[in-house]
Amino acid sequence: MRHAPLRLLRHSTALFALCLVWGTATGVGAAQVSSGAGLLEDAETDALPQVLTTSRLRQSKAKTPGTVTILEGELLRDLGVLNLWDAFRLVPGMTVGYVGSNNPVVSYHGTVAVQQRRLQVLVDGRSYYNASLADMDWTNLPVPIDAIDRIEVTRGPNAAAYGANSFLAVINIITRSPSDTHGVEVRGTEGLRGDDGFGHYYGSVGSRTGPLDWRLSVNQRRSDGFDFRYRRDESGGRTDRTRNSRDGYDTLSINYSGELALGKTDRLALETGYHEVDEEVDPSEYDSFNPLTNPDITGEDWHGSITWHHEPSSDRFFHLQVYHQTRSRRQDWRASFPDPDAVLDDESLPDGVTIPAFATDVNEDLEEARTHIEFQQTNIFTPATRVVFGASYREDHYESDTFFNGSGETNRSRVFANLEHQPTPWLTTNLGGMWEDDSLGGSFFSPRGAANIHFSANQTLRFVFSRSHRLPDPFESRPDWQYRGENVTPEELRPFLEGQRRGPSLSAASPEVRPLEEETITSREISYLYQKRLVTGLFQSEIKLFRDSLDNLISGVTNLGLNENDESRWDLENNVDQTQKGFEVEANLEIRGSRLRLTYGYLDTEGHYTGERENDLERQRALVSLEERLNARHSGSFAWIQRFGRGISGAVSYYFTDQLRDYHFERVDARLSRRWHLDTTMVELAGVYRHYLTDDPLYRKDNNWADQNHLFAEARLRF
Amino acid sequence: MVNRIRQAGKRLIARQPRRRQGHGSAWILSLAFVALLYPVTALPDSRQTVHIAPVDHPRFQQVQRLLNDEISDAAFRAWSPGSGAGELVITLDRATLSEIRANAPEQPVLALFTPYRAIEAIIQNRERFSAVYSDPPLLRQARLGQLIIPRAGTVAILASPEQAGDYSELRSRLSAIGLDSRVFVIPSQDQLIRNLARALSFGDFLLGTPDPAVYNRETVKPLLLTSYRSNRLVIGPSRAFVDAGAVASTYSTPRTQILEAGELIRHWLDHGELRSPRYPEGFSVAVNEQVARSMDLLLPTEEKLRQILELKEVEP
Repeated sequence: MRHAPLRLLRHSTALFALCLVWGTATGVGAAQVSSGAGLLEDAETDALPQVLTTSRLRQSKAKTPGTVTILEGELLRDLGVLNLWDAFRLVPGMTVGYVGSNNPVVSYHGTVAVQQRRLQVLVDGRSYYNASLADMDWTNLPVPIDAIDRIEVTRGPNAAAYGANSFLAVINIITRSPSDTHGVEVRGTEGLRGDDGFGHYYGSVGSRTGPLDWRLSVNQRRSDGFDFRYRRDESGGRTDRTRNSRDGYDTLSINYSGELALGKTDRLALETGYHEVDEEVDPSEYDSFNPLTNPDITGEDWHGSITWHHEPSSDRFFHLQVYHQTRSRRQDWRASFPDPDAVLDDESLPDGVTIPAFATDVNEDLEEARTHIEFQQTNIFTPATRVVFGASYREDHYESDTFFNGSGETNRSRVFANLEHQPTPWLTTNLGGMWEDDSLGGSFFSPRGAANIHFSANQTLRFVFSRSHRLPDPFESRPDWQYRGENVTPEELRPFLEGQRRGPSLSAASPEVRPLEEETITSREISYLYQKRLVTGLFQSEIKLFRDSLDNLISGVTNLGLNENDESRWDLENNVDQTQKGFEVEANLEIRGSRLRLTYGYLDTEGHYTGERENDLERQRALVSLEERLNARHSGSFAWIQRFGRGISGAVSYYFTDQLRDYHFERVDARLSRRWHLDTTMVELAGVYRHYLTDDPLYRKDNNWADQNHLFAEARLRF
Repeated sequence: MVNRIRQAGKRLIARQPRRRQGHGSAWILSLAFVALLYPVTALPDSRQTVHIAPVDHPRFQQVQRLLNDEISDAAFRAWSPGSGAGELVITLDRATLSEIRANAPEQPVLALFTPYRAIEAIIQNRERFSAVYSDPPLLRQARLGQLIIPRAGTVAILASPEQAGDYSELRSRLSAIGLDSRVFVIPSQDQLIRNLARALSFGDFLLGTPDPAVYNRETVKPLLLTSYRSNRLVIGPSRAFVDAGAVASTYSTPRTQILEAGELIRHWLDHGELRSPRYPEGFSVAVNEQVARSMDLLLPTEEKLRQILELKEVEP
């Protein structure tokens, strides 16, 4: 769903003023385009249909009811951004880390790193937020950078527009329309030094056949991951000795998108795609299983989406979208247990039987499927008043023998509406909300209100209030976690172990698994937008001041542990309140041939333990700090793109994150490219150089590059 | 914008009475007296005749009325083929222009409401020919593009294969004002997007041209949508395109074009020769405010843009 975001003004005086103005002011029309009649200068071009209607135009920054960062696909390609998650380093307040075995995590205003579940990520209206093990699988998001039209990041909760789990921010990725990409496009990027296992290949072919614009694209991405990690000693602690990491991946995506014109008022957008992945997982991530084989992952995802756009007039239009997507992961390995007593309870064993060291196949296979249907209508009553409303229904199905002992289903119904009203030319107000009913978490209402005060065409001051909820996912609230042994050796043990779920377990019946409530974020924002037209350029800057209260955060570990007494065992609880204060700046300057872009984020976090379970202050502090792992006090970026003429362009970008967990991140990227525009072909050759300014690991001690200098070569062809 | 048109009209109108000073009011009074004495049909018309064709053109009345108001010592009549050899004919569309040129090549012609390219295609011999081109001059359009997109350093031009070779002079003029340009050939309508995509990867904006094979009712949607989604602006080619979604264009109203034709007609009447065809000097700027706002362009008013452009045109 992509309707105009909603906000509610909290400050009572301002609210009063708002109501007053709303009630008394007569609608003031925004300047309308003169619909001049044809000029008879050329019969071919007289009185043309209006193409860029309201439904197709993007909202001006001055009117958006909240801070939104736009990353154009072109910007990412010009800067030489190689991985999608790296793009978010360009968004003020966003941080990027890597957990587990090279799994990228992205967050806005931090909080937890492992299973970061407080972002909503949409690709062309489809939610990629995994429902069962609430998480975002960035490695396998099947969106090649080549196919991105733009990414809109709503910095702040926006459940009123996007529903629950649009908690800290919403990332809305919009891919290029098949009607813009006729012809053939091929691009290849290869790592030459430093990250020499990196390869990214993209090819697309598109055309128009009758009323159908279509594009078929193939994308392969591979990486051999980080270079080294630290060996562990017998107790699991890291030693100073290093060894190669085993954390590469190889993915292949095939996508088809089509746009079918059905007369003047209707069109159908079709999307379908297949994605497959081979992902290496470092065995040390599964130390407690003493893996005999690598716990690698293979997987297949499918998606299909159909959206009907109906625009009978430029002031009334709707869309109806239905999509279905599946996600399947196979991860099995052979585990060995030299000390069976540590993992097997004795109760189920016949008296007198002692279990010798044994080995067995175990798995963490997972199947997920999501079906979603949504209707959204926009009515523009006057140029000053517009309403967006709609409803949606979503069903999530999940199946995992290990995590859920079978399958489960959740569903969620939503109704939403937003009113945008401009009572006077100097004020734009937005008021809206979403009511939803979730089969697991109950019913919620998420309101949002915003008042944009336009001091002039150059300056806008925004007040935003919003509230959003995050519902615990099925894994958090009702896990049934235990491993089933298969192909057990020695064979004598098969009568006791083969085909059975044995060993440490967690289920709703376990004392550790407590009932969980929803998390709530209440966000207050004041932002100031300043835009200035210079003699030879355009300048735009936005400053956001915020104070967000995150209440009832679910913190704790989601480990199974070896047994009930294991200290690292599951202890999730609604037990942390957090207050986040700070400010963020985003500035952009475009002058002839150059673009300069600057972002900075300052985040001050204050967390409190509010749970009942832990009395140990040290443990309380640990739980609080777990929710601050991706919080960086200072972060930012600077980018400079310069065109030198003769098709030569250069770009330099600098990214920094101060103290993310224990490490500092600073990187400079440079890209130099040359384009040749031949008669029917465009050829581009480029080199990308990346330099890490520190040798600190990336987020986690095991994420290390051996070489701080990385070099990539890129070739692109379009005809 | 409207003011500007009025001003343009006023300026032309104000200039013209000075040329008529020699006739004197006494002459008019005596003519009026004679008119009272004789039936109108019997009045021998000493004024020169200027013909307008075709009579069924929607702008015929407007042209006749405005020119009658401006130039009283000529009679503006509907043209009928074969009549008035050697007398000036004002053509109001390209079909009539090419018809007259084919059937009466010696007839002096002043073309109105016909774009430059169409005239170039019809008129091989520029003798006894003048015109006020209906389309805006592309250099003016490119300057508007520069004003609207200050960062612009490159401009893409789409052209049909027939017109692709016609831009070398424009390109050198563009490069003189700091715009690197390139022509992208659109061999057929179904190849539009693939070539447009390459053009948009080159140019900071698209300079619309009056090339009907590229800019027409069929292509307006893909052209404007694809450009907008690529964050590229389209300038021109006409005001109708601005209404459809191009960000801006300069244009001259029919009234301005007619009044500027009036100056050429006066020269013909006074000196018996036709000046070279030209673009209208008076112009206005049309901006699609919705598109400009949605791209956060913070544009000056249309009138301000026009003033800046006018200044640039008089600069050496």
